[in-house]
Amino acid sequence: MRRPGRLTGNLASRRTAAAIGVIAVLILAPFAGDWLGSGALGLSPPVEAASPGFGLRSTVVGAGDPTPTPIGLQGLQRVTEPGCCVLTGWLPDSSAILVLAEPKPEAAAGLMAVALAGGPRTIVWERPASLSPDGGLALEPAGDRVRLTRRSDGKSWTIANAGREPRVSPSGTLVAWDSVSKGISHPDVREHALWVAEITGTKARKLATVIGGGLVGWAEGETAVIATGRISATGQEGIWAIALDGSAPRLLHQVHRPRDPVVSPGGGWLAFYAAFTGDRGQNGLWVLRTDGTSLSKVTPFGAYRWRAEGRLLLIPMMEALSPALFDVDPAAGRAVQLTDPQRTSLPISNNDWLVSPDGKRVAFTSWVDGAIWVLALPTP
Amino acid sequence: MFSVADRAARHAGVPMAVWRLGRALALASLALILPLPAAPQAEPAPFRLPFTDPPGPDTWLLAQPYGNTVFAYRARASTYWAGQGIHFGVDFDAPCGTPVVAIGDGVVVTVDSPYHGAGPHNLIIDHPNGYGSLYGHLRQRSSLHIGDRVRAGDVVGLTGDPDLTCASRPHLHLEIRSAPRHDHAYNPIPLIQADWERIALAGGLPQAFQIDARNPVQWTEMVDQPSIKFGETLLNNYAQTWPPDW
Repeated sequence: MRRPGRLTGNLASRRTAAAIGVIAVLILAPFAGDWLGSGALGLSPPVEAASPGFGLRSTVVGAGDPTPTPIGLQGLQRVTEPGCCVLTGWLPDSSAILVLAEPKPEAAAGLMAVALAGGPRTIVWERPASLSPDGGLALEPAGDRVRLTRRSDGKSWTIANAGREPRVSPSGTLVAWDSVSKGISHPDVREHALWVAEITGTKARKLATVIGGGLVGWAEGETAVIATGRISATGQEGIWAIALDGSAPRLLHQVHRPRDPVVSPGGGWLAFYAAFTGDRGQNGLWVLRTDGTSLSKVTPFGAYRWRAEGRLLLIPMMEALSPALFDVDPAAGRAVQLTDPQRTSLPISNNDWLVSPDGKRVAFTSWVDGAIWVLALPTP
Repeated sequence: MFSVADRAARHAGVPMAVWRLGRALALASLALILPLPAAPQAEPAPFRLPFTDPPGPDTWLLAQPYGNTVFAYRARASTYWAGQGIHFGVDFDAPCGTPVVAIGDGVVVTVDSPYHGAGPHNLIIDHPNGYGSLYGHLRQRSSLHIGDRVRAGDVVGLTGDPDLTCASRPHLHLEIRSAPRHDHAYNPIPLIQADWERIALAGGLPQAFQIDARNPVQWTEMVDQPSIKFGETLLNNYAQTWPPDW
């Protein structure tokens, strides 16, 4: 079903369409239960998750420093003014979101923190950068190297990593990257050399080369990294655990071109999806234990992020309703609906949403007003 | 009324962030004055999606939107140089051989034009509203001929693969250009009636756009992307940017 006028034009049209969407949701809500029950995990019917009303319409639009809407019955909090900045992450203690924004007019953007409790933005790093999982290191490109700077004392060093994205381990003691072969455009035959080193850059060593795919992240315990692709040109394709001790790579799951593989915060789980394989049973969203002990298909398909170890957040990609958020526990085979689209609107722009490190909130940029919003997640 | 004002602001060179903020303030003021919101007057987009099935992992998915995408930025001096450094179409992943339908009524004006890229086969339909639609990376030469009239929803080709393998990256590359010259490209997302944000809600990663550190919110939303003129200078030759090419 297509909805005339919905998300088809500029932001004013979208705001108008949002109102239409709310009306459509009210009309279609009685049918939601039938659809929700069709999932393999037996998704539960909507829960009372927030106060009545379209959350984004009940707040004051303003400029200057953020004026948060208190987290309360509504569950939604606008934490920035419209069009202020670009959402990039969370502080490790979940107290603030991280944005790229200009600290003052005419200045280049830097990494800034916007506290959920309000107050002026604070500069985290004067330039665009990413942070290590514990927030202690700022990571910046430096030609064919990466520069790591300890934020506490400013001590800085570089690692020769072919200018590739560094993946700092959850403990912050190791770093991995993959170096990509040049001149090969076909993604299935491109070679990715997987490297690991101490966080200081010492003891750098190549673990393996995968063909197609690439490095995904760190497995639980930091004794292996997770990668996708093939170990040999004619070998099996799938998801691999590549041990740091030099033992043979272990195929966790054979699958053709797993898409958007995302490792859980502690490395114990991997979510990915398969598409267009020619086998409808294979297509869709899957979660895998990174020790290879379990594999579950999650239906319906949609957008996903890890909330915690073994807890996946899912927004189904369905037609009839406004987006709803689900908490999926693949080990228990259970999914619980966290938000009711009749009551809590999730106008997420660009599929750009980030879960706080403590798993209690979701931040997103709204396509309605261009501001960054935070949703406090109900406990399932 | 705001759609016209939006266009005017954009054409006048007003930064979208500033414009959006001002407009939001205006809307907030109106909300205080009016007892109830005015009845919505949605602006209909003139075109439809190029597929008949709904999106999903069995049918088709949005692969890369139009605009200043990270992928296009990294290839701004090569693949996307002619389009001022941005991805001047929308890519839809789909199995090879998926029927592609016309996004609007019109007349076929080119078949397999060597000047418009997106091989191995392409097709352009000109529409009476002044736009042309280009369907690229088709699997085989379209059975249509120059001068044929098509209706919205008519099958005009089958999805193919630029690598000619039907395995590496089969997808449809859809452009909306000016007609009849085809020398400008426009963001198809505001012009195609579809639930785009819902279509984007697939997978574990966002649709990523390249950020100019001197203007970080410019061109970071799917709907807010610049039109381009082919052959003009790069729009995104940034001195400082994020994410890095790593």
